[in-house]
Amino acid sequence: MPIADLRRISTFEDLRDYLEEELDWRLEGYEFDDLTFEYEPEELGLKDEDAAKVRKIRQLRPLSDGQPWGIFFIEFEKKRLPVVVLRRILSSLVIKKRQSANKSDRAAFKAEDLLFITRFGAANDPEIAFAHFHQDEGDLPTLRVLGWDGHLSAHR
Amino acid sequence: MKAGSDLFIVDNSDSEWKVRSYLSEWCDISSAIDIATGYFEIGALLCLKEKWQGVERIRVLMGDEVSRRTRHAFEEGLRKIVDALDSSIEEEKKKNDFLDGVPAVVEAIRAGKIVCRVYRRDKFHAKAYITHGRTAVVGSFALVGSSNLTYPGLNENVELNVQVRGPEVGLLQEWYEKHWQEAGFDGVEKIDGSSSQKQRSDAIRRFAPYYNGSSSVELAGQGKKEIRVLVATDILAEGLNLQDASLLINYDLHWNPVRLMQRIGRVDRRMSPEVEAQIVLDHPELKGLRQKVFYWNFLPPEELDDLLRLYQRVSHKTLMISRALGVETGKLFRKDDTFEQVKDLNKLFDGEQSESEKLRLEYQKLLRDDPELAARLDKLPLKVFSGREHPRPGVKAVFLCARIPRPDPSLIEGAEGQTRWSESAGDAVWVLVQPDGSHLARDPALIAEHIRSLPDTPRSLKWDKADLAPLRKKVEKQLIHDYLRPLNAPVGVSPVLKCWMELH
Repeated sequence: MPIADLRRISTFEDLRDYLEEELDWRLEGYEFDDLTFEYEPEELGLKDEDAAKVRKIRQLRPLSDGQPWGIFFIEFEKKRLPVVVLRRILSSLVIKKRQSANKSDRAAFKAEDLLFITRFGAANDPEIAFAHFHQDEGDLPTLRVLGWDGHLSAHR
Repeated sequence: MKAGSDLFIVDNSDSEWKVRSYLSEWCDISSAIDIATGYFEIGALLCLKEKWQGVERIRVLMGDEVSRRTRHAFEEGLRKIVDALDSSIEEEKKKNDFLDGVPAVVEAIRAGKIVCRVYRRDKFHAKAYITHGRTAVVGSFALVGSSNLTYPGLNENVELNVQVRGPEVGLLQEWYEKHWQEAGFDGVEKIDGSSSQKQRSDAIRRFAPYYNGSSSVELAGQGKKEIRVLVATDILAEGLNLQDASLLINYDLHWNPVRLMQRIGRVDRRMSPEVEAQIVLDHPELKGLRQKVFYWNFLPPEELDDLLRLYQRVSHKTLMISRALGVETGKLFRKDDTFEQVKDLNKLFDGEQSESEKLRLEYQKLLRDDPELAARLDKLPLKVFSGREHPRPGVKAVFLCARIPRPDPSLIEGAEGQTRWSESAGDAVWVLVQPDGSHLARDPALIAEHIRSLPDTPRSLKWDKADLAPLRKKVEKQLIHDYLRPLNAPVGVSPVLKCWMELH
């Protein structure tokens, strides 16, 4: 796909088409709604002031049974990626050491197995960025963000 | 002690040298002591005072009658606590000394310093005290004979025990090791989130071969060893057939009652007469065990227990209020907590019939009253649509019944042994909604009151099926959210609508 076409991808629905048509992901023609589980910000432990920054949270359903990794699509109201909110969402989704602390109403993941595809920015110039947390033992998870334009940044 | 050439007899007749004296001495020079005994009573360890605490490890291999004797000993100990209140100061002191040792024994068992195993292959009646010398210079000793690990056996009874020393002790250690291993659990396996799908499927078949289309003979033919004890996390809680098992132990109880019920349901679900007959045919020794399924639940911590009690109280009151006001759905701590789930769990523990059980009994009565009904139901199409007037004039609603697929271990496919999801492995859910999709009700008993019909209830359809399509889509979305999202169901797995009914 030419780079110009790639740059035209500005919504999750566009990205879904790109994954299936260009990268051969087996999405079997399902619509974005049918491919994803919906979450309310409150379900992921976000308080009102953080929830207000979130427009939409969707999880790409596993492509096969028992798939350990998860992809979350998160659309923010903010013009810049709200790293703190993303961190709070991460802490709600990762597997807790104590079994009974894990929520029963959703899947839980290892931090390294989660990829957040985020959309934010001005309405007329939205940005898409990929966010991944990496954690060394005894250290805080480091957030690495890769913009659709290839710009890489890290936040601790 | 009586000596004659190299033979040393210990029979408790010498006031200075009883079996207890030997063991006390050996505790100082041994790193470990292995004890074989027909009976074990805690008083035997207590009479060694603090001496036994100097040994790094004590293993006790005993016959299976010992548990009763030990229980009696504990009961006796408790009775003595009560009696001590009425005894003289001196007597009370003596008994408190006895009790002082109990916490140390309990702590040693908890820490794995004292390990006990019950030998069940045959009646175990051996008596031997075998040491492992702390140093090679001192070496190991053994006392073999008739003394059980009981207070009388070590102190009072006339026994016949012979001391063994030198290279022969090595032979006794080997004998002990062999029987110790035989008394342990074999066929123990664990699976958790780190196990691959193939490993999980393999473990399920080896643990529950008969309810997963295999058998002990077939597994043996494939060179696979059966699993006797399967330790698993919640990954085995749903959608699997594990009815070969007869005991489920729930450790770390799940907060959500539905998940807990699903766990129990893996073992305690409908048995197949044919499969049961095959199990008993292949394993006649299990005949008496196949009648019941046992489950043990480790109770939650005190704080959570208090919370659950509060939940029970509040849910009961709110439910009454909801019913009085005609609100069909009750919500409490979380959006998806329905009272029905808690009511079912409480009733399960209290031994009462839940509403779901009452409905199943009603269904069975219908089948009994009309012998031809079962055949007619079998002939119904895969999807059924009907309608009737609502029992309450002016009220409109739509009833929907859907099956929620779950992973089906009998449908393994692909090189990595992936499990397919099927309707038959899943559960049915009932939903009652208003035509605009509001007021979602899930309580089966309440829904049954709306849809229950008699043979002469007129079938009446007024609405265009196409008009109900958006409603069905809305309900399906809610069911995906409530039932399939928690299971992380893969793309393509959706609730399957089985029947619906308009109530106008």
